Amino acid sequence: MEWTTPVSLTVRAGKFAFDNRHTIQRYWTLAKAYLDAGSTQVVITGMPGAGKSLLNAQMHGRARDLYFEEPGESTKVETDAVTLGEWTKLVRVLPGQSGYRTHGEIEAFQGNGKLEGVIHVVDFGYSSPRDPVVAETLVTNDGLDTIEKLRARNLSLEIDTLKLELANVRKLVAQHSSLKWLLIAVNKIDLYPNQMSAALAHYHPDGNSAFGEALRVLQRDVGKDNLGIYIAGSCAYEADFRWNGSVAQSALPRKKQDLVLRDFMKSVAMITRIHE
Amino acid sequence: MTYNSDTTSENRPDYDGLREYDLSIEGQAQRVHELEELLELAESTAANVGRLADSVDRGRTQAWIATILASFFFSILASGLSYVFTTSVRVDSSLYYIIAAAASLNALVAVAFMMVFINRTAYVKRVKRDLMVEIDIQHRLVSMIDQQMQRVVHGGEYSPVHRAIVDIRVRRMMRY
Repeated sequence: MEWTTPVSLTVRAGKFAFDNRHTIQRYWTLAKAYLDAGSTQVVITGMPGAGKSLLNAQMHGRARDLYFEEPGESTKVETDAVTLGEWTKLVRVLPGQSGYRTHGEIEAFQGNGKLEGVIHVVDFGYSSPRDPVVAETLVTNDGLDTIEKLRARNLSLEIDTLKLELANVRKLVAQHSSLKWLLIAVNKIDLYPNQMSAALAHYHPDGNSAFGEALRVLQRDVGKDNLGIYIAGSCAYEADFRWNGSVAQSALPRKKQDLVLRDFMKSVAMITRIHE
Repeated sequence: MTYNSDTTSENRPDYDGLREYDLSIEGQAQRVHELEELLELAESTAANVGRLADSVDRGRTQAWIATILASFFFSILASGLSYVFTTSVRVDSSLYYIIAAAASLNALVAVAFMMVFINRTAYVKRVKRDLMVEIDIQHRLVSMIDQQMQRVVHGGEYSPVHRAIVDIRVRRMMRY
């Protein structure tokens, strides 16, 4: 055998690997997701019922399967490989309840030098307790008998949840410089298509709400250049919202939902590319 | 009734401040009391989960040890029998009686360990059923505690220290 043969083979294999680096990295990340191994690169957080699991399923593409079942309450951290632009990222979804998310939170935020971004899912107050006993207590004991009252309460609680999340972000940014972006995913926009701008303004760091104020404080603390904060609308699932006999109708056609999701995915891909 | 999502600016709620809620001291005391009850129940469930998980681990270890020991005694028995069949040991010799006695003893011990294995496997299955029930209860309680915590936080004064204590108690419960 000529000495040039192994050299040629090695060079060709190297070129092939380089040309297909995205596919190789994708399968490598898929294997890690399957084995639930490896450090989290993107973490999805938010209040219970905000639609984190569904949004993740949409990002993954699983939600478009014919036999996809709507997830219920997540009691475990979900791990997935999601392709964002050219590269595939290891994404973990933290359950909304503090008891369930302990392990995932420690794994994602404590000394994780690989975490690149956080997607914080909010729903403009359109979530209700899954436990019927708690739901009834809110109506009968606490007087939250209309959707608007429930939303006002949820929006107030969202700020508490955000502040807890931002404490984790602040801590991680101080420890590692890998965390570069925070995306506020304004979910369930099918329930308020005509209030979309109001919702985005409510969650925007330049907005007048306490939510925006908390984001402004974070940006001031860690520096605008160190952490990019973005807002994007999303609609992971079209479903009416029901509370105590009232219904907020889902008013977004399927095609429009597809468009919103496509824009959302494009935004996430662009954000990851900006911060690479 | 259909809720119109086209809310005009006049009747749009003050998202950060609106609290049409039972803000009385009694109401808040009741919520805190309920939260404490849920926490106590969840802690006792978590203790049960821990105890049952330990029992499952212990039962599994015992089943494994019993399997290893039964295999060991069965292999000694097999070795002894193959020795008897492959060599010409006289039936009335003392060596024959010694081998026969040892083989019988071995067989008895091996069967005893097999029984231990079956018993431990059945025990693990039984305990796992109880464990599943306790875990199911624990999951429901964790969910309810979270919702109750939201009621308490939204319902009036609640010190951040108390909140942190509740959070620590909940996290400690979810070790298993």
